[in-house]
Amino acid sequence: MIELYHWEPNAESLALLVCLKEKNVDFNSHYVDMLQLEQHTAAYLELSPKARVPLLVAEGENMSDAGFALQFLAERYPEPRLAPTDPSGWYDLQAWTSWLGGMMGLAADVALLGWNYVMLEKMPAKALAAFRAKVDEFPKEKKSGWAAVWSDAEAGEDELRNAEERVQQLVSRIEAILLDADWMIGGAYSIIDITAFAHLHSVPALVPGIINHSETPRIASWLERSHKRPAVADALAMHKSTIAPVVYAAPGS
Amino acid sequence: MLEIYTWEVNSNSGKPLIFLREKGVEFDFHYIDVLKFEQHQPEYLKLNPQGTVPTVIHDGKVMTESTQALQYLDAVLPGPSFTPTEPLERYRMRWWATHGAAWAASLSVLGWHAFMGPMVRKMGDEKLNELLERIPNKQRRIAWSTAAKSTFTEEQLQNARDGVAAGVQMMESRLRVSPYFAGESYSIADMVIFANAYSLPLMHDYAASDGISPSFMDWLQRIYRRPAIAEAFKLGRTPMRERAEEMISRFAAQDGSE
Repeated sequence: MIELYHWEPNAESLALLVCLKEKNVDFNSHYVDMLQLEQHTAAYLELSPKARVPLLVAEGENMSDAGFALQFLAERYPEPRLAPTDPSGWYDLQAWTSWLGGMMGLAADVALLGWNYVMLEKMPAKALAAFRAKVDEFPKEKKSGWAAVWSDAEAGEDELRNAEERVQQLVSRIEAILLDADWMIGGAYSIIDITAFAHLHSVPALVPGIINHSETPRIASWLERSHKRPAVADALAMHKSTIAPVVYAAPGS
Repeated sequence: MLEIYTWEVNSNSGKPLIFLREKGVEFDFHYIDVLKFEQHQPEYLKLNPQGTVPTVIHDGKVMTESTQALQYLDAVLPGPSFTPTEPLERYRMRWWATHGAAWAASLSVLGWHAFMGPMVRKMGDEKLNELLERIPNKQRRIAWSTAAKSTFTEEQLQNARDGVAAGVQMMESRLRVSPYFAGESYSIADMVIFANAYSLPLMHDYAASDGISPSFMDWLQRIYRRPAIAEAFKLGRTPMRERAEEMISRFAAQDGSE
C-alpha cells in the first residue's frame, strides 16, 4: 500500500493527491500539520530526515522529491496516461519539473506570497507567536525550507516584488506554450499540468494582477479546465485548516 | 544531427561529453570558453537565452537542462543503455542525479576561489566588468560577479568546505550499500555525480580519501577505469584535464602495486 504524508491540498502535497486520484491508486493519507511543525517531530524525521513534506512511501522507498515521485507514479501506473510516451515529450516534462519544483523554484515564491498576503493576516497573533517561538528554538541547520520562510518577520517589499516578478515570468512562459494547446505538453493532460496547477491555483487570489482573464486568458482558462476535473475537486476537498490559504477562487476578469 | 555546445569535462559541461563517449556516438563539439564568458555572448544567447552550458541540440530539439537531456539522448541514440527500466530504480537515478550532486554548489564556490577566479581576473578589471554586465539574468549576474571577484568571506569558504564534506559522506553512505547510485548498474546518475566529483581526492582530501570515504574512493576508481572516461577528458583544454589525468595515473599506480 502506498502511504502519502501531506499537508493541505496545496503545492506539492496537492500535486501528489491529484495524481493518485487521477490514477485511482489506493493510498493511506497521513495529514502532517505544518502549522504545528509536525514535520519536525522525531517520528516524522525518521521517515524524512530533511523534514520534507509531502513524502510518498512506495515499494519500501521514502520518496521525498515530489517531482520525481510524480514521475515514478506516471511510470509505475501507466493508465490512465499522465505522461507523454515519446522521449522528446519526456524531456519537456522533466525540464518543466525542474523549472517548477522545489524550494528554489516557483513553489518557494508562491509560498512566500501566500504567507505574507494570506496567512499572516489570518493567523491569530497568539498562534503566530507560538509558531515563531518554536521555529526560533531550532538549530541553525534546521531553519531551512518552509521554516525559513515562516520564521522570518514579514518579507520586505523588495523581496515580495522579486517573488512576484519571478512568478510572473513563469506564468508568461506557460501562457506562451498554451497558445495552441489545452494542456502544457504533448497535447494531453499530464503530471506537469497537475504540478503547475498545484503551485499556481492560488495565484489569482494572491496576486490578481498576475493571472486573470484579460491579461493571461489562456492560463486562466487552463486553471478552470483543471478545476473541472473530478480528481482535482476531490483533492481540494481534503482541505482542513482554517488558517492555511483557502484560495481556490477561479481567476477574475 | 547532434550538436553539443559546452565547456570542459567538469560539472554540468562535462555531462554530455562523458555520456556520449560512453554511448559511442559522434557529435559536433562546440567549445564554449567559460573563462572568456563566451556563454554570455549574443550568438550563444540566441541558442540558450539563459546563458548556461551545456546546450544540446538533437535533430532541432534544443535542450538546456543537462541531466534531462542525457535521459532523452539515452532513449533516442543507439548504443548501450544507461537508464534502468524499473520505475523504482529510475526514481533513484533521478533522485541521485539531482540531490546527490547538490553539494557541487559548495564545490563551485571553492573552485572559483582557488582556480577560476584568479584565471578570469588575469583579463583585468575593466574587461571583466564589461563581460559581467552582459549576463542576462540578474541573480546570475550577482552570483558570477561574487565568484569572479572571489569576494567570499572565510566563513563562506568554511561553509563550502563543510558542504563538500557532508556531500561526500552522503555519497559514501549510499555506496556502502549499493555499487552504483541507482542500484546494481552504472547509470546516468553516476556520470552526473562523477562530472562533479572527479577531482575531490586531489583538491579536497579533507573530505574525500581512502580513510574518510573508502566506498566513495572505490566507486571513483571503478569509474576512472572505464575507457570512455579517459576518452572524454581528452576533449579538455584546461588544467582540469591534467587533474583528471593525475587521478588516472594515481589509480593505475595503485593497480600495479596490488
